[in-house]
Amino acid sequence: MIQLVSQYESGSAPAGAPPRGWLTRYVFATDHKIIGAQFLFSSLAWMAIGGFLAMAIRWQLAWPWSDMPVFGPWLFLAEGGQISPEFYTMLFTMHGTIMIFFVVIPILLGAFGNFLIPLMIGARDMAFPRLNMASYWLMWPGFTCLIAAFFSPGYGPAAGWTSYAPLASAPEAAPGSGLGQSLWLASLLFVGASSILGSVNYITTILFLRVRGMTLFRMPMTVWGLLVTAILQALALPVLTAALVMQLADRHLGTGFFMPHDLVINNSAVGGGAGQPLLWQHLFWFYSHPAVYIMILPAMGMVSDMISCFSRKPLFGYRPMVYATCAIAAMGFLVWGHHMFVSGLNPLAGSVFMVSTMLIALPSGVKVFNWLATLWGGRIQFTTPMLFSVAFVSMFIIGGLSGILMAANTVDEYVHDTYYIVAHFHYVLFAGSIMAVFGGICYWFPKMFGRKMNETLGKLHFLLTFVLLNATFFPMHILGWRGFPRRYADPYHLEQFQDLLPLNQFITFAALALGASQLIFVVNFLYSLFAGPRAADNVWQANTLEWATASPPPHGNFFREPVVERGPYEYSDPRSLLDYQPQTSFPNGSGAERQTGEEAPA
Amino acid sequence: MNRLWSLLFLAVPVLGIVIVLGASGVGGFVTDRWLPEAIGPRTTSVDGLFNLIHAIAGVVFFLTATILGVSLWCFSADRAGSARFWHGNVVLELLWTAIPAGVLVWLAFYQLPFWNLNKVDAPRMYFDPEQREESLTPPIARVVARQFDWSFVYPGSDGEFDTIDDVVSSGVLVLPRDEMNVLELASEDVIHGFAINALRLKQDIVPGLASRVWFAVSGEGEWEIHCTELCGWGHYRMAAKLRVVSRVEYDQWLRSTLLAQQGHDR
Amino acid sequence: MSRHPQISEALRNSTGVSLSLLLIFLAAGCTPAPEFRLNAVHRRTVELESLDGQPISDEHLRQAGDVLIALFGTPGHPVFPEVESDWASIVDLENLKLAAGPVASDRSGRHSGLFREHCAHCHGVSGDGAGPTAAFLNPYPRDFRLGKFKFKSTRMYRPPTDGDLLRILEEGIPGTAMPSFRLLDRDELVALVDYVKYLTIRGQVERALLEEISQLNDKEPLLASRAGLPDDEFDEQLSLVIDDVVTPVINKWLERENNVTEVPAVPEDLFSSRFQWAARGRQLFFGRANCAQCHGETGRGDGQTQNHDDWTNEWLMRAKVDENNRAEVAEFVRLGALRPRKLRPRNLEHRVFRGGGTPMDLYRRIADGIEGTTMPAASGLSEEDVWSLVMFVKEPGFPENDEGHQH
Repeated sequence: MIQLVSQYESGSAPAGAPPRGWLTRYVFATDHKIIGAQFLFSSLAWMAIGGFLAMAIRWQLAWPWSDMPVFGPWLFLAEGGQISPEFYTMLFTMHGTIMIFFVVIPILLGAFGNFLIPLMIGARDMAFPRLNMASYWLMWPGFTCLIAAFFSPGYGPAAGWTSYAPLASAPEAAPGSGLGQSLWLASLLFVGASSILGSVNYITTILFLRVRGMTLFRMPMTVWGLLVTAILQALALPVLTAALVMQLADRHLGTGFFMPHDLVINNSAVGGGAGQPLLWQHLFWFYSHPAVYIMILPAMGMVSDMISCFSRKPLFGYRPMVYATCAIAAMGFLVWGHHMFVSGLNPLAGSVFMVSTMLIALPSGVKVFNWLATLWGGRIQFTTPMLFSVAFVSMFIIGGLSGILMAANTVDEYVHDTYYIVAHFHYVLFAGSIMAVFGGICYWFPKMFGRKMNETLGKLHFLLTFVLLNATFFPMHILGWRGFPRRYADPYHLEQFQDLLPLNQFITFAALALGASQLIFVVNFLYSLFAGPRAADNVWQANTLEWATASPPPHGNFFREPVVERGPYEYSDPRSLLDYQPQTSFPNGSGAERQTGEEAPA
Repeated sequence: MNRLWSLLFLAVPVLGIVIVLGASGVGGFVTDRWLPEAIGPRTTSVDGLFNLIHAIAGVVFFLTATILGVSLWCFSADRAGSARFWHGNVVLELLWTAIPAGVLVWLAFYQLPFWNLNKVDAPRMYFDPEQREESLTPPIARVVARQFDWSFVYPGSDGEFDTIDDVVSSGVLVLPRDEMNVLELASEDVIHGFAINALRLKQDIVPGLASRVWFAVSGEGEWEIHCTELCGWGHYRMAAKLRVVSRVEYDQWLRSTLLAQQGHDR
Repeated sequence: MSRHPQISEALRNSTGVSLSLLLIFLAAGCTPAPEFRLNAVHRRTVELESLDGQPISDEHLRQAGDVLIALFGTPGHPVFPEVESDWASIVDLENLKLAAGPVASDRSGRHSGLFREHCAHCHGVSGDGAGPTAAFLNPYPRDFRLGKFKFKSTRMYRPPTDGDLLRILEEGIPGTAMPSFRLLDRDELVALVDYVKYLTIRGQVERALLEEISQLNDKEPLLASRAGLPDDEFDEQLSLVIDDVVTPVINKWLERENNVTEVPAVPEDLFSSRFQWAARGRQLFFGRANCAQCHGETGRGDGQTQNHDDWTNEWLMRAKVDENNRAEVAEFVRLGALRPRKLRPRNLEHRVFRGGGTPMDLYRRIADGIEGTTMPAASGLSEEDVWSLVMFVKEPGFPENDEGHQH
C-alpha cells in the first residue's frame, strides 16, 4: 500500500500545503471539507426553492384556480393571480427535478460524501482534489441552466421530471417543451458529469487511501453506503447521459431516437425518424431506478452509524448489513421495468420485473430488522440526530411496505400514476432520506463547523417535521386508494374525486405548516454556524475516525497518521472502562486482534 | 423523561392502523369509501389482491413499528443498565431473510395468474382451422387519444376500421354489459394513459404502438375515463365517459348513431 | 358539477376548513380582480388607419371605457344591455353570473366562475384568444371579439346559433387544443355558451366604439363625463351611442336563426355507390370546384399557403404591417397580438375534420365555406356536386399521390 505511506510521509500529496488566499481557500477550494460544505449550502438553498414549488402545487390542489396569494398577482396579472395549467405542470416538473438532482443526490453524495469519506477512512484528502473541485463547479452551469429554464417560454420545462418522449422531445408538444426543455437537458448533463467525477473520486479514495488497519470490513456503514452508491452512479449515469444527449439530438439535430414515424403534435409535423418512445423510458429508468438507491443507501449508512452510536451498542449484523447494501445495489439494476408495467411494455416482461422487484424488498427488510435488533438491548440516548435516525427507520418501514404493493403488477396497474405513488416516494425520499440528512447535519455539524447546534430547537424542529410530514404524506395513501391521479392541475374535474377536496385541503394545511416549521431549522443552522457553543473533538463519544481529530479538522485532516485497530461499532464492550472505543486506540485488555461482526450475543 | 419520545414512535403503528381502518370504511370518518365502486370480475380480482397485500403489509408494519417503539421505551438511557455487547446472530439473520423471502416469492407467484388474465392472455373467440387455434377476439372499438380529448371509433357493420361506415363517438364510450369487450388503443400525438378506476384498469397509449385492453362490466351505468400519463398542459382535463348498456340498447345505439352520422335520420 | 357533494363530517367541522375560508378571503383581498383588457391591437390599427398613427386621446378612450362598463360591466359583475325587450333572449343574466367571476362554489354546491375555470387559460379573461396558454397552441384559440366563428350552421358573416356553440363545447374540435366539455352539466354548458356570446358582443361593440372615436376630432366628445352629469343626461347620451354602435351588432344576433343553412336530404345512394360519387368528386376537386388550388395536388394542404386568417389580417392588413419586419410585428405582439402564422389549408390525408366528419358537416363546410379563412362558400356548385366532393374527401382511397400529380 504505497499510497498510504506517501499520503502521510511526503506531506504534500494529496492534501498539499494549506491554501493562503480567501478565494482558493473557500471558493476554488480543493479541500474536501470545504467542497463538502459548498455542496451542503447549495443543496440547502435549492431545497428551499423546491419547497416553495411544493407549496404552490399544494395551493392549486386545495383551492384550484383560486387566486394564488403573494406570487399569483405578480405572475398572472391579467388573470387576477390564477395559476395557469402549464404553470402547474412546470411546478411539479421542477419540484421533482430540483429535489432529486439538486437536493437529495448532491447533499448525500456531494456534501456528506465529500466531508466524511476521507475523514472516516483516515485519508488526508480525496484521491483527486482538483477533480473534486471540478465536480462541484460543474454543478454551477447546471444551476444556471435550470434557473434560466424558469425564464424560458411557458415558464419552464413541463414534461415531468421523467421527461417522457415525445411530450418532452417535441418542442411543439407542450408550452414548456421549447427552450426550457433543452435547458433542462443541458442542466442534467452538467449535474450528471459532476456526479460521475465525484463517484470516480469516491471509489478511488475508498479503495486506495484507507489508513493502515482500515480494512474494508472495518469501514463504517456510511462509507460502505457511499462506496456502493458511487459504484452505482459510475455504472448507471453514463446511460442517462446518453439518453439526455439522444433527446437533445432529437430536438436539435433532427434525429428520431424517441419519435415515432409521421407524428403530428399540436398541428405540426414532428420527428423524421422511426424511433420508439419506450426507448427513452428504458434508458431513463435504467438510471433513475438505481438513482432511487443512490438516494437511500448513503442515508441508510448514516442512520446505521447514528443508531449504533446513540444506542451505545454495536451495530447488529454488520456483515449482513454490508451484504444487504451490495445486494440492493446489484438488484437495483434489474428492476427498472416496474416503472413501466402499464407503459406498453410486453406484459410478460412485466412479470419478470415483478418477481425481481418483490425480491429487492428482501435486503431492505434485512436492514430494518438489523436496526431494530441494534436498538433492542441498547442504552438509547434521545439526541436530535438519534430522533431523526429512528424516524428514518420508522418511516422507511411505511415507504418500503407500500413498495411491495406496487411491486405486484396486478395491483400496480390500479395505483400507477396515483397519489399512492406520490405517498410512497415521499415516504422514502422525504421521510426517509431527508430525515437522515437532517440527522446527519445535526450529528456532524460540530465536526464540520466546530460548533454545536442547539438541541432544544433541533428537537422542536424534529417534532414538528415528524408530525407534519405524516399529516402531509399519510393521507396521500388514502387519495391513492381512490385512484386520485397525480400531475392533475384540477382533479375535481372528475366527479369521482370531488369529495376528496376537503382531504386535499387538510394535506395542504399540513404541507404549509411543514414548510413553515423548516424555518426553525434555518434559524438553528445559521445561528449555530456563527454563535453556537464550541464543540469538543468527540462530542457524541463516537468511535469512527472523524472524531479522532480536531473539530473542525485541520487542512490534511489528521495531525499524525491514525492507525485503525478495530471496527467502528465497539460500543459498551464490558472489558472496556468507557462505553465506546475509538477505532484508533488500543483496546483495553486483550482483544487487539478481534474483528467485528463475528461475535455472538453474550 | 427522554423516553417519552418513544411514545411518538409508538403512535405511528397505532394511528397508522386506525386511519387505514377508518379510511377503509370501518369507521368511515376519513372518506366514505376505501376503493371505488367495483363493476366487473376484473375489479374483484384486483381488489382481492389489494386487500390481501395490505393485510400482510399491515401486520408487518404493526409488528415492526411496535417493536421499534417498545425497544425505544424499554432501552432508554433513562433506565439504569448498560447496553448489551452483541454483534449479531446468524440464526436470526437467516430467519428474517428466509421468512420474508418465502412470503414475497409466494406473493409474486400467487398474483401472477391475475396479471396473465388481465394483461397477457387476450380473449379468444372461436376456433380458426387455418391458424389451428382460437382467433383473438376483434376489438369492439378503437380508443383514439389526442391532446386533450378522447374519441371512440366503432368499426361498423363491416367490422373493419377506417372505412366509411365507422361510427365515431366523441367523449362517450358505449359498451354492452356482461361481455368481454376488447378495445384497441391508439394515440394521435404523445403518450396518453387510458384509465378506468372502477375497473382498476390502466394502459398507456404510445404513439405508433398498438395495444389492447379487455374487460367485462357486470352492470349498467356511467363511469369516468381519464388520462394517467402526463400528456401536456391539459392533461387534467382529458376525461370521457364510459356508458354500459344492455346488448339490445347497444345495437340500437350503434345503428341510430351510424344513421345519424350518415344523415339518414332526417 | 358541484365541488362538495359529500364532505365527511369530521373534515367539514374541522377548524382547518374555516381557516381555509379565512385564507381565501385574505388572498382574495390582496389580489386585484381581473379587468377586461382594452383591445389595444385594434386601437393601434384604427390609429394607423384613420389618424396617421396619432394616438387616440386619453379622454376618448376613457369615455369608451365608461360606455363599455355601463353596458357590459366587468368580468366579476357582468351586465347586458336590455334596451329592447328581445335583447334579453340572446343572453340570460343569471347564466352570465354563473360563468363570470372567480372560481367558487356556494353552500348548495352551485359552482360559479366557470369561464375562468375552464376557458380563460386559452381564450383569456377578455375573450381575446390570448390567455396565458394561447401562444403555445396551434391553431391559436379563438378571439371572440371579431364576432367570427368557423364551425356553425349559419351562412357566412352571420353569428352562430346556440346549438352550434353548444356542440363545439360538447364535442370539442378535433385537430386543435379545444377539448370536449361533456363532463360538465348541461346547464353549465348553456351558461358558458351565453358567456361566449356576451364576450363576443362586448368585443364587437368595443371594436365599433374604437372605430367611432377614431373618427372624432379632439374637441368632440363621445359622451360627456359621467362625473359632471346627472344620471338621466348620461343615459340619454348613452342611448345615442347604443343606437349608433350596439344595435347593429345585436340585430345580427337576433336574426341568426333565420340564416341557418338547410342541408338537403342525403342522397339515397350516397353510401351504396360511394365510389361513383367520390370519382365524380375527384373530377370536381381538381377541376371546376378548384379545391386543389389551396388543398394542393396531393390533398395535403400544400397548395396556397401564403394567406393569413381574418383574425391576423385584422391588424396585419389593415394596419399595413409588414409580416417580415420584426419591429413592426413586435409592436403589435406587445399590444397583445399573437405572432402571425400562415393559414394552412386542411391536409385531407389526415382525415381530421375540425367541424365534424359526418357528411352533413362536410356539406356545410363546402357549401357555406369557413368564415374567417380563405375557404369560400361554394359558388356554381349544385347539391350533387357538393355531395360528390363530400364523398371524395371522406373516401379513404384518397389521395393517391402520383395520380394526383397527373391532373
